[in-house]
Amino acid sequence: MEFDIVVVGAGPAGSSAARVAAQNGAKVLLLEKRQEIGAPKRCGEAAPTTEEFEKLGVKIISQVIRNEIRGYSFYSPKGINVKVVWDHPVGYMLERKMFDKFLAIQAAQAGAQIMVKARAINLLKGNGKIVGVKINHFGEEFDVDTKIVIAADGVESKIARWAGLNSKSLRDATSNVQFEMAGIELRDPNLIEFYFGSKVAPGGYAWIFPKGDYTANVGLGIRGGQTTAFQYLKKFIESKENLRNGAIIEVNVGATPIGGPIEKTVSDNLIAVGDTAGHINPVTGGGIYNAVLCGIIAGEVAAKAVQEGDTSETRLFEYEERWKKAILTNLEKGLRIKSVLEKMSDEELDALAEVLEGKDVVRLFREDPMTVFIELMKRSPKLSIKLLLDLSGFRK
Amino acid sequence: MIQINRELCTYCGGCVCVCPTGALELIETYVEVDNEKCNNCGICSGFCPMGAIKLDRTEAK
Ligand SMILES: Cc1cc2nc3c(=O)[nH]c(=O)nc-3n(C[C@H](O)[C@H](O)[C@H](O)COP(=O)(O)OP(=O)(O)OC[C@H]3O[C@@H](n4cnc5c(N)ncnc54)[C@H](O)[C@@H]3O)c2cc1C
Repeated sequence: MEFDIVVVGAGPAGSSAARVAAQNGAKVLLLEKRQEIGAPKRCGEAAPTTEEFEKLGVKIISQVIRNEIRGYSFYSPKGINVKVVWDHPVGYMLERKMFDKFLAIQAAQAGAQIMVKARAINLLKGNGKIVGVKINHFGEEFDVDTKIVIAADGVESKIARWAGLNSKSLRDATSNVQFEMAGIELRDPNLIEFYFGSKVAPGGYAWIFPKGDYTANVGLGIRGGQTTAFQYLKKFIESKENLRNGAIIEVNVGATPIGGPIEKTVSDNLIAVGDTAGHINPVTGGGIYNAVLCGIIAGEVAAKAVQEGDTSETRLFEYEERWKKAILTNLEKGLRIKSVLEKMSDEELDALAEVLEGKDVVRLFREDPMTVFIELMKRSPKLSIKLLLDLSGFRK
Repeated sequence: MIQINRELCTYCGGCVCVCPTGALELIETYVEVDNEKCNNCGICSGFCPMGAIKLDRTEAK
C-alpha cells in the first residue's frame, strides 16, 4: 500500500491534519490504535468558543457541545473564593468522544482512509530517511509506503522518538485523574472551578468542570509523588458535600506535558503535532484547540510539500514557522505563569486571593491592574516583588 | 523490573510519556515493558496517576 501522507493518531491533531491534507489533494491514511476513536477520553473537555473554532474554519456541530462556560471560580488554600465572570460565553464544555469522532468523520468525508485498531509499530527507513510505517492491524503486520508521516500520537510520543526528535520537554508532565460524576449539585453550573493548595493538589490543582444536567468532570493534577493523584482525588471529593454522594460514571486518567514545545517539530518526511509536539498550554493543560490549529497547518503544509515533490525538513519547516507564529508567544507566557504559580506557597496564594476577593476581576485587570499590585504590596511585599520579577521574566 | 497492576491500570499512557528510555509501550489496553531498555529508574512508578506501577528493586542489576 502506498500513501502520500500517513497520520498516526486520530485525536484532534491527527484528524484535523488528515482532513486538511485530503482536502488539499493528498492520498491520506489515518491510523488509530484504539478500537474506538475518542474513547476512553483523557480530557476535562473544556474548550474555547465555537467562534474561536470558526476562525480556523472548523464548524462545531451542536451535538458535541454539552454546556456553556461563562467564567472561572478559584478557591485559595484557605477557601477564599475569587470569581472571574463574563456576561458572554468564554468557552464550551464538549462531549469529547463525540468531538473526536466528529473530526474523524470530517477527515473521512474529505477522502482520508481511516483504520482503527491499527497501531504504528515502527518507522520504515530507506537511505536513512523515513519511507513508510510498519502497522499492526487486528494482529496482522504489514508495511505502508508514504512520503510524509504526521506524528499525532499524543503524550506517548513514540513516533517522534523513533524519528530522533528530542521530546524531553514532554517528560515534564502532571499526573491527572478525573471522575465524570453525575447527580451532583453545583454552585454555579456555568463556572469552571479550580481549587489550589498543597493539601488539595501539591504542585497542581483540582477542578470541577460542569457539563450540565447535574454532571461534571471532577479532577485533579499533581506533579507525582508518594501519594497518587487517584488518592488525592478521592480525598478531595470526600471533602466536598456536593460531590460526596455523586455517582462516578467514568474514570479518566492521563498525563499533561507542561514543559512547553519540543525542540524541533519537523525532520525529513516527518511532522509532529499536538500533545506529542508539546502544543499544550502549560498553565491550563488545555490542548484541544492548539491540536486542531496546528493539525490544520500540518495537513496543509504536508499536502503542498507532497505536490511540490519536496518533503525535506527544509520544506516542512514552513509548518514550524507557522505554528510558532500562531501560538508560541502564548505557550511561553504559559510557561512563565506556571513557574510562578508552582513556586507560590499556600500563604501567598491566600494573600493574592484576599486582594482579589469580591472584585470585578475582569474589569480590574483591564482598567486598573496597578491597584492589584499596590494592594498586594501592602499585604505581602515579598510576594509582590517575587511576582513582579517572575512575570517580567527577570528570574527563571 | 517494574510490575504493572493491570487491574488498576487505566491504560492512559502517562508512564510511556515520562519514561526516559522509551522502554514502555501502550498496546491499546495494556503496557508492555522492554526490559532491555528499562533501567529501573522508577520515574513511571512515581508518576502513575493510579499507583499501578511498582518498582521491584530486588531484581535490579
Ligand atoms: C486529565 C486530562 C484533562 C484534560 N483536560 C483538557 C481540557 O479540559 N481542555 C483541553 O483543551 N485539553 C485538555 N486536556 C488535554 C487534551 O486532552 C490534549 O491536549 C489533546 O487530546 C491533544 O490532542 P492530540 O490529538 O495531540 O492527542 P490525543 O488526543 O491524545 O490523540 C492521540 C491519539 O493517538 C493514538 N495513538 C498513539 N500511539 C499510536 C500508535 N502508535 N499508532 C496509532 N495510534 C496511536 C492514541 O490512541 C490517541 O487516540 C486534558 C488532558 C488530560 C490528561
